[in-house]
Amino acid sequence: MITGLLSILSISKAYLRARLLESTRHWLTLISGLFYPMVKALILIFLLQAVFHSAAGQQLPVSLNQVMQYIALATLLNTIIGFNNAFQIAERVKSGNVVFDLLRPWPWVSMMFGEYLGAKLAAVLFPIAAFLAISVGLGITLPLASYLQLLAMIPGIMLLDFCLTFIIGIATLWTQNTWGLGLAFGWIQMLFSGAMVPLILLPERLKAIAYWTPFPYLIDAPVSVALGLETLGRTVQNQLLWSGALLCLGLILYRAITKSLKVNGG
Amino acid sequence: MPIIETQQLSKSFKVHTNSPANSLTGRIRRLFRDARTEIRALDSVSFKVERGEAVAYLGPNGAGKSTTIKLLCGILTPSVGTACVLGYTPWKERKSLVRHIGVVFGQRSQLLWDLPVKESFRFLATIYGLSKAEQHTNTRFISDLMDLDELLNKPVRELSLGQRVRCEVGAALLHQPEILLLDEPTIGLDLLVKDRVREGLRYLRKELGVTILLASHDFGDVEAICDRAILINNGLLRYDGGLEKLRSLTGPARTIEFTLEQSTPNLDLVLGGGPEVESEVTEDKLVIKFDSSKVTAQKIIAAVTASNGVTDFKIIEPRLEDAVRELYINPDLKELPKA
Repeated sequence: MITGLLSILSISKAYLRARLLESTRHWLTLISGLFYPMVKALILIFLLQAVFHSAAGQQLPVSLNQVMQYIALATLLNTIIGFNNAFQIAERVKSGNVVFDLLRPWPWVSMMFGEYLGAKLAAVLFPIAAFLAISVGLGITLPLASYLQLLAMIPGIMLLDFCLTFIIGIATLWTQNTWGLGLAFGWIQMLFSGAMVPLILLPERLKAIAYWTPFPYLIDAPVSVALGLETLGRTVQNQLLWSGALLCLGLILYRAITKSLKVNGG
Repeated sequence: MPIIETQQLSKSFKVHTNSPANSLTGRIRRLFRDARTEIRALDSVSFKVERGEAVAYLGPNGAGKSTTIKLLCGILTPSVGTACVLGYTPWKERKSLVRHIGVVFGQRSQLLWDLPVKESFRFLATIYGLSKAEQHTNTRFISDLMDLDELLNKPVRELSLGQRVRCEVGAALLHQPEILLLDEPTIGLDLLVKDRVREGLRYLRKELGVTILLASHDFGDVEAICDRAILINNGLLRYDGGLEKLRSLTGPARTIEFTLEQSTPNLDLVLGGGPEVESEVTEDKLVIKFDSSKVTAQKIIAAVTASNGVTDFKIIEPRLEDAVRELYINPDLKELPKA
C-alpha cells in the first residue's frame, strides 16, 4: 500500500516537473493559464453582486460577503478539478496513445492518477497566487483555520475528481462520442458541485438532488466547511465513501475496457 | 530456450458493420440495430524467437503485425492462444515484462512535445525507476548511438521527423531493454537517417545481444538488420525462415543484363531452344532470364560473350520485395514451405 502510494507520488513528481516546465516555458503561456480563473471569478462575483442588489429587501439564506468568499474559494477549487480531464483520458484511448501508458511498469490507473496529481498540482500553483491577489483586492479574507481545513480536504477532492473523470473518460469509449457525454458531465458537475453558484442559493429540491450525487463534495461541501456552514469530518467521510464506490466502479470498467481494447494501425 | 514464443496466438475484434444506408430512415434504423461483425486480426500464429536474433515481421497493411506486437507487450489480450516473452505471459504480467522490453511505434510519439528531449528522457527514467547514475550513463550511450548530442536540448516540437524518430528509438532504449519491438521505425525517413537508425540497431544486436522484432514495409531495414523473416497475411502465418530462402521462393529465376556492341544479338547459341531461358532485347541491352537450377550463369555468360560483342554485364539477383509481393498476392500461399 505504502509502496504503491510512493510509486504514484514518484510518477506525480515526474509529471509535476514536466507540467511546470511546460507552463513556464514562456511568460504568455503562464499569463494565459492565470487569466481564465481570474476572469471567471471576477465575472461570477460581479454577477452575484448584481443578483444580491436586485434582491434587496428579500430574505436570502447567506450574506453577500459569504457569497464573495464562497466564489473566491470555489474558483480556487475549480482550478484543481478543471473541466476537461475526462476528454483527456478518452482521447488518449481513442487516439491509441494509450499504448505508451500501457508500456510503463505501473498499473494504468496508477499512471493516470500519478499524471493527474502532477498535472493538477502544476495547474494550481499559479492560480493560488491569483486567488490571493483577488481575495486581498476585494477584501475577502478568511481565518487561517479555514484555509487549513480546506487544505485537509484537497486530497479528498482530488481523489473524488479523479474517480469521476476516470469513469467518464472510460465511458465515452462506449458512446464513441467524447464531446457529448464529456460536456454533459462537465455542465452537471459545474452546477451540482457549486462551482458556478453556491448550492445554498439553488431551490431546495435541486439542492437535495445535488447532494444525492458526489459532485457537492468537490466544491460546495469543502467551501461550506471553510465558511463554517458544514463539518469537516462529515465532508471528508462522504468524499472517501464516494471515492471508494467510484473507484470500484472505475476498476470494473477498466477491466472491461482492457479486454475489449482496440488499438488499430501502427 | 526461446526468448519469445507464441502458440496458436489469435486475436479477434468486433467491429461495427457499415451497411449502406443512404436514406434518412435507413440511417435512423441503423442506430437501433447495432450490427457488428467479428474480424480475425490474428489467426493461430505460432513462432519462436531466440535470444539475440533479429527477425523481420512482414505483412501487408492490416495483416496483423501491429496487433502481434501489442499482444507481445501485453497491451492487448489474445482471444485464443498463448505467448511467452522472457518467461512472462505479457497480458498477465505486463508490468514486470515492460521493464525488459523497448517498443517503438513509428507513427506515435512518447516524447513530451513542448519540452527538450532530455526532459523526456528524464521523465521516462523516473517512470522506469532508474537511478540518476543509470539515467546519465544510459542517456550518454543512447546519445552516442543515435547521434543525439545536438538534439537533447531542443524541444521535441522543433525536431524534424528524422531527428524525432532517432530520439524515439533512444527513448525506447533508455531502460536497457533485452528485446526491442519495432513497428515501422523508419517510416518517412530519408536515406541518411535510415542508415543511422539501422546502424544503431545492428550495433545493439551485435554488441549487446538485444533481440529485435521488426515490423516494417521497408526491405532496406529488413535486409540491413534481420536474417530471418516471419510473414503473415490476413492474420495467418505464411512464412517463417531465412531471408535467402524467402528470396528464392519466387522460383530459381535469375536475370543477366548484357550491354552489347551491336543491336542485333545472335541468340541461337544462348537460347538453345530450351524453355529454361528467356530473352528480351532493347536497344543495346540483352536481358536474359534463366532457371538457375537448370542452367548456370557461367554457361550463359560464356555463350553470349562468345557470339556477341559484350561491353558490360550484370547479374541481377531476385529481390526480397519481389518474393514478398509474390507471397502477398499468391492465393496458394498455404502451400509454400515453412522453414
